[in-house]
Amino acid sequence: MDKGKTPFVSRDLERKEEITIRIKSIKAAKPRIIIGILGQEPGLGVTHLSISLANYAAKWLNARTALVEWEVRNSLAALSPKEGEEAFDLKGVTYFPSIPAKELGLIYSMDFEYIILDLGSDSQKAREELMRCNGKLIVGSLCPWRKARYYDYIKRLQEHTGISDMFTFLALFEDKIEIKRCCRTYKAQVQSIPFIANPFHIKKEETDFLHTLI
Amino acid sequence: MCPGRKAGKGRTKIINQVLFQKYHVLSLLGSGGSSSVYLAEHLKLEQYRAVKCIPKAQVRISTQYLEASLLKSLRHPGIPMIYDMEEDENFLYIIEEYIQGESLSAFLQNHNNISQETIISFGIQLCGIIEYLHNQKPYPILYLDLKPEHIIICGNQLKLIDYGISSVFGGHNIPSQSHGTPGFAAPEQRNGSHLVLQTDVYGIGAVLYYMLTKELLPPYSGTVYLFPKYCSLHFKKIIKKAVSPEYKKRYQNANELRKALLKISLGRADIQQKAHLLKKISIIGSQEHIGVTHIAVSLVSWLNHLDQDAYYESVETTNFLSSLACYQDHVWEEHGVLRYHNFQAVTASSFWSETKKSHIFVQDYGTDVVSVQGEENRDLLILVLGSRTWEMEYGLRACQALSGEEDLILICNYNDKQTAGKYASILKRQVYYFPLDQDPFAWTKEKHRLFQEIWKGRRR
Repeated sequence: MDKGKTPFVSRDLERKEEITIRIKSIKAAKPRIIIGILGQEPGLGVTHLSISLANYAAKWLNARTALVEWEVRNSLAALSPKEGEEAFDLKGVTYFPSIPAKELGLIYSMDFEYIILDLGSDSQKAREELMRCNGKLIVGSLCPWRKARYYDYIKRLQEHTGISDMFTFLALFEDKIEIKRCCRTYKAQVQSIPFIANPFHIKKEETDFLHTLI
Repeated sequence: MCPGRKAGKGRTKIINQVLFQKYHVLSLLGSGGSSSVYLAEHLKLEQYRAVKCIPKAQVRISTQYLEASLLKSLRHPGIPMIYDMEEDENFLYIIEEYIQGESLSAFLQNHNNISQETIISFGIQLCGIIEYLHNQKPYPILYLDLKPEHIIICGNQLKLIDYGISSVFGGHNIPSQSHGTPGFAAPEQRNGSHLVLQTDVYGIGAVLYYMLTKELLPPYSGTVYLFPKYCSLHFKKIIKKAVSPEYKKRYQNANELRKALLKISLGRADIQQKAHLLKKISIIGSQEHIGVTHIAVSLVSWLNHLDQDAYYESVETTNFLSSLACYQDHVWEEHGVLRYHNFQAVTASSFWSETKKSHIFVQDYGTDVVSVQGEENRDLLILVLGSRTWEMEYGLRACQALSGEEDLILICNYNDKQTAGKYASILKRQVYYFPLDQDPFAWTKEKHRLFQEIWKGRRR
């Protein structure tokens, strides 16, 4: 190779065209967005919200969407038409049940525009994984015997990260007046999750809320 | 007896003192006007008392003696008991029942939407207390000062406090001033006319109106009332009649008003008739976090709303009750029972063994299917099923495990009629669905309908 010439000067014209096409396709590709959803405690509807969000992205945004169940939990496996499948498609969403953390990278490299990551309930590792996501959603409960625990959790999370608006805090279909009262008392912004009857079939009136999460 | 009032100077001197070798004064509960009320412990009985401390120099003692002597002979769950009266050189002490609860005025401030049914049930209780006072012999007692601040909600029991201006009807001890409180006092109280039994009927009507609207009654007849839209026509008529400016046009006594309210309350009588048939209800879930505790709490609150005296008991070890006690306002615990509005829970095993015959117990088994199988002395078993697709497998498995239980009721959560239908077609039996519900302690029409249907179905 002559000195002073750049490495992209190719004697092979076909090779040059191939590289140009690849650059154009990378520029044209939409950025991949990973939204992580974590429950402060078990049983707060994280999987339900994950499925709702994935179906919203697939149907209403017409996006290539994956829903990944982080670690072995077997919630999504029940949806598979065939037992034991590693991945399956359902109504425009590709589902990856029970994916170990070390295999997430493989899915991230696939051609999806949205990846919804169902992180289940709170743990150190789940929180670490959440921090790697573009969108960080946390679901809690404001029912009388749980709300103080949720707010303690929010405070600790904010103190630990030092950033107050990094997370989107959500509470399962709580009354808006109760949310306002609790926000004033505990100084945290919490959004109410409206009831979504069928997570596989998102209605128009449910899209506004889901859009705010994406 | 209600906390919240500020203490004046010199009113904390008796704290930590022992009065009359019997009462250890612990703290100031509140004060107002001339008197202060302290929390004290009876040293021998180890029970709390409220000690009302009245300076002799500042008030007419005869009025205080009248209040105390009025109450001392009365025995009603809605009237605080007077245990004793003592005095020293400077003070008169009235030793009363210590009431733990929330005033109706605080309750109304803390709750935005109170159902008509709740208001009617409060009204029925108030009528019962006033009827008891009016039935006293030889002379009826007129209360004359009904207002939300004088009504304390203790679990599912209302208590009427502060009998300062009460009078004996037809006797000789009628106070010269019984004006009552503006907005709640009858016209005959305001203009100093002859007081009658219907004066207290007006007071009940005024309180009912305030609970509905959070507004005082307009002072003049012919003014437009501001009833909310959800108030039924019958209820409006009852209140309007109760607060008629002419006393002869009102219900003639509290019993008549109570009967009118009972007629419009929803199926209460029918449920009360069947109450003795059901004493122990077990509730279990097909998996964790399926809403078993929420539904159990709702059931207990609904039963108590209908005056059934039901208790929640957790068979599985959870921290639900301790979390509720620590983190929720207006929760208190006494004699092994934790109370919050219409909800009551057993926290001590001693309560269970002493009183199990006379109450309804709703036992939360969590997911412990093995413990409920073949359980004896149970009247009803409720299995809560998950409504999401990935939860149905657990639901069907639990149904199979409990298929031999004759008293089994299936409830699907999250208002999912469709999934309830799927379960029903697979299992070939009725499956109910629990309505969407934010507050398990609150009464709602939808929960009432569901529980009423389940209750009526249990014919023995």
